[in-house]
Order: sequence, then structure tokens, then C-alpha cells
Amino acid sequence: MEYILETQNLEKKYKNFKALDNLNMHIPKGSIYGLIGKNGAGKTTLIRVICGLQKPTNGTYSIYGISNTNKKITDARKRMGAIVELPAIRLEATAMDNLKEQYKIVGLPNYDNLEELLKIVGLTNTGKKKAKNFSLGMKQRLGIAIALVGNPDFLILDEPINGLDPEGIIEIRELILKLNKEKKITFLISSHYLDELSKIATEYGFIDKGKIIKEISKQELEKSSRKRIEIKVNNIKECALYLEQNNISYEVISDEIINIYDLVNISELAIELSKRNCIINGFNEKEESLENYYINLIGGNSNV
Amino acid sequence: MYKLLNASFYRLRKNKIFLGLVILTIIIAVFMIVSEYLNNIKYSSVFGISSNTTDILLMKFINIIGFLIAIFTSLFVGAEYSDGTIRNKIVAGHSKKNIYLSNLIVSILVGIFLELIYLIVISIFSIPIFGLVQMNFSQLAVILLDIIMIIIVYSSIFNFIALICSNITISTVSSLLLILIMFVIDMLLSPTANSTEYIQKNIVMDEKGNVTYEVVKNEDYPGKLVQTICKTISNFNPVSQAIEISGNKINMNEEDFNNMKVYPLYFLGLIIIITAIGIYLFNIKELK
Repeated sequence: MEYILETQNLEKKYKNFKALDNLNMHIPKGSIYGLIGKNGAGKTTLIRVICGLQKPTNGTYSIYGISNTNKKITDARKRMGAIVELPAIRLEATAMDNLKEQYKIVGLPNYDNLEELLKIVGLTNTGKKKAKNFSLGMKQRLGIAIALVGNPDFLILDEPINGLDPEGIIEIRELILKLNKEKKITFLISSHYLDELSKIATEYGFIDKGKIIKEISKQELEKSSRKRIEIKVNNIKECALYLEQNNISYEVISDEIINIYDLVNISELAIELSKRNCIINGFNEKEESLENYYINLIGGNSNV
Repeated sequence: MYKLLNASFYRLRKNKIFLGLVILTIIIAVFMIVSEYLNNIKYSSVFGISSNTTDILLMKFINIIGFLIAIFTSLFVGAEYSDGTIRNKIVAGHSKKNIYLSNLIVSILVGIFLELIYLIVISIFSIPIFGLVQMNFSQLAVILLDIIMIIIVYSSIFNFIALICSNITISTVSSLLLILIMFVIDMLLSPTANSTEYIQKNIVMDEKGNVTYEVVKNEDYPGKLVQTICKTISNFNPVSQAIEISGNKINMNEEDFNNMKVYPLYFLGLIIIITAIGIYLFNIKELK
């Protein structure tokens, strides 16, 4: 798999506090990578390090395969855009002026596609209105437009929907999906809003105490989150055979545990299995959301 | 670097602080001319019209420009932190060294531009009223070089403060305070730096009315070592040099002229040291 961003044992220390601790992360090309973690888990520190605002204490990261120890990392950064915490915009300037300045920073020879950029983020009609008079959602979209100058193929958004109203949240969500689908832009998005993230992310990274404790794809997560009945039996072979013969979807988890994904009548199942000398020792109905998955992973603390 | 400068100049075109400082410079120039004109009228009956008023006027702005550069640099560079736009530059792949140097260049060019505006206004209005510059070309060239170097020193100092201290309010207040401190240092050190071992004290007039001066040992003379230390500190203090240029160098003697030629070297050393330390500190600074 081709990765846009990889980190290897990344560490960032502030005096005696380890904000990042041997962090390993892999962002596949074309994905929307949701970075999930509670306050102080290290999300923003990680983003600051990747963006070059801060240097790692130890470990390395590579963007498009170029290591941060290589001087060409600045060239790799030219292919990415980012919003760290708040959109970096000049409040006294118009949307157009903000974008024009970024065009010059990036070094584009003309203002081609500027109108298109404003159109993409829905800011074509702002005219001479200064950014300070924009709504939070508009500021966020302008920040994304600035990050998009130079046609990057990797965008980092730190808490992009923080403080937005429901309409603003939908706008940003649609925009991210559109950019990912149409322009094939890879996203790294950190967010507290797990429900929102679950609507767009294709990959998840769970961060806690400066470490990525789990990376999982959307498919894997859905599989593990499907509504299911987890049963504990004494004869896993017979149980699997019965489910197979009756076209019931299942997955063997261990020597004793089997997950059943189809709707079954537990009483009937218990009777049928007992005929095959297979006793159900316990069962549990399960359905996990991203939030449940996260809480189970982190260990019960839901302060995301 | 070119891209960063290009972006800064684009921003400068619509920057209200810059526009305000240009207007303020014009107002200061006009005020200076009017003030000198009124002084000349007031004292012309006693001393006659001063022939070197244009010379005096040309040099006066260097005392004020430090404050203007401090205000501009702190607010212009400080806005990069307060708006967060410094992040856009780093994410776009620009090195911290280039960001530091581009801000320094913008600050220097703005300082020189303001000085130029002042000189143009003075030339337009002062020359027809008070006449041409009296000092010779080489003196004028050396003084202008000194003025440019002082502007660069000011820019180096305030760019350093603005980029190392990421709070716009603190950097503005610190920069303005620093200039005031430099003025105070000059006031404290100047008497010692310029004192002589012997002074002319008592005026003696003989019967024919001839006046002679009695030369006596200066009791306040601090000694050679202390004086050298004070002089060295003054040489590195841009405010001291600005005061010297604007104040008592209108009738420059040979020694003054030679000193003036050496000052740019002190400034060059200062600029290199401040900028090198600034780049180093900015490079290791943790940006948010």
C-alpha cells in the first residue's frame, strides 16, 4: 500500500512531558484518515510536528516517502495544505485577498483557478466583505481554500468542525467528501465529533497518551461493529457446522466464541445445537458504534 | 525567499499601518519645516537666517524613525502570529530562516522608504525656503550611509523581538520600551563618553580686553578605561549615533567625519550578530 504519511517511533517532549511517545502511523493514499483521541492525547502536537511547526525530539516521519531528516521535506510540504487548530486567515482582508496572498506564498505565477477555489468552498459571493465579518463556517471554508492553493494532494485538518452549527458541519463534510472524491485528495482529520468522523473517514487512527494504539480501516471497523450475537459454546466445530448448513452468517472468534451476524431465534438455536452435543454456555447481543469502539479501546473514558 | 517577499509586498499594499506611517512621516516632515521656519523668524533678528537649516532638517528624522520602525515591525510581523498566517508559510514549504530574513528585508525597506519620503518632502519644501544643503557631498554620503545602517540596525532589533516573542502586544510594547531604554542609556553614558581630561573653566580678561581661558583638570573625568567602555557602548547604540547625526554634526570637523565613517562597521557587526542569533532562536522556536 502506498502511504502519503508515515511516522516511525515519533517522539515529542516538552521538558519532562512526552506529548508523542513512539508514535507509529500510516496514512494510505486517497484515504480520509480520522485521528481520534481525547484532549491532550497528542493530536494537535502530531499535526504541528508533521506541518514543520515543531521538530520531533526523536523518531522520524515521511511525507510522500521523503523523511523529515531530508532537506527535501520542504518540497514535500509544498504538496500539502493544513489548518492547525484555527484557520490561518487575515481577518482584515477579503477572501479574495487572502487567497491572492497565499498564491504568492506558494509561488504561483498567476491567479488561475482562484475563482474555482472560491466556488469549491462556496465563497464566490463574499465580494469586499472582510474575513472578520465571516461566520465561523465561512472562515473554516476560507481556511480550507487557502490550504488548497497550489493543488495539494494531502490536506491536514485539525478539528475542522469545532464550533460550527449543524449547517456548517454539513457543508464542511460535503466539501471534504467532494475533494476526496473529485480531486483525490488524501485527508488527515482530527476531530472530537466521532459521529461526524464516522460519516466520512475511510481509515481510523486512535491516539492515546501520545501513541497510536490502533489503526483500523472503515471496513474492518464496520465488521467488528456489526450487530451480532456473540455466543460461547463447548463445541465450536459442531456449532460452525450447523450455522454453515443453515446459511447463517457467522465468524469464529476463538475456540469457544462464535459471532452470529444474522437474526436467529436463540431458543431454537440452543435446542438444535444441544441435539449435536453442543451446549451454549453464554450469549451476548452486541452492536458497536465508533464511539463504543473507541471507549472499549481506550478503556472506558469517553472524554474524546 | 522571492515568493515570501512578493507575498509581503502584496500585503503591504493594503496595509493600514504602513499607510498610516507614510502619512505620519509626511506630517512630521511638514511640522519640522514649519517649526524651523518659525524659529528662524523668531531669532533672525539676533542670529540672522541660519544657512544650514536644510542640513539640520534632513538629519532630524533619524531620531524619530526608530519608533516608526518599532511600530511597523511589531505590528506587521506580529500579525503573522495573531492571524496564524506564519503557519501557512511553513506548511507551504518555506524555511524558518527565509521567513525571518524576508521579514527583516521588508522591515528595512519600509524604514528606508519612510526615510526617503521624509527626505523628499524636506527637499521639496525646505530647499526653496532655506536654501540648498551646505555640507559637502562626501559628508552627505557618509551621513546617509550611517542613516541607512541605523535603519537596518533598528529593523534587525525589532524583527528579532517580533519573531522571537510571538505575542503582538508584548513585542510592540517591548520594542518601544527598548528604544526609550536606549535613549536613557545614551543620556547616562553620553556625558562620560564625551568628557575630556582637561576643561576650559575660568574666563580671564586682561586690561586690553583680551579673553583667555584657564585650562583645568576635569574633576568629573572618569578615567580612560571607563570612558572607552562608555564610548564603545555608545558606538553600538543606534540611538546615540542617531542623536549624534541629528544634533551636533552639522558643522562636522575632521575627527567627527572620520568617526562617522567607522560607525557603519559597528552597525554591521551588530546586524550580523542580532540576525544570526535571531535565526537560530527562531529556528528552534516551537510554533503553534
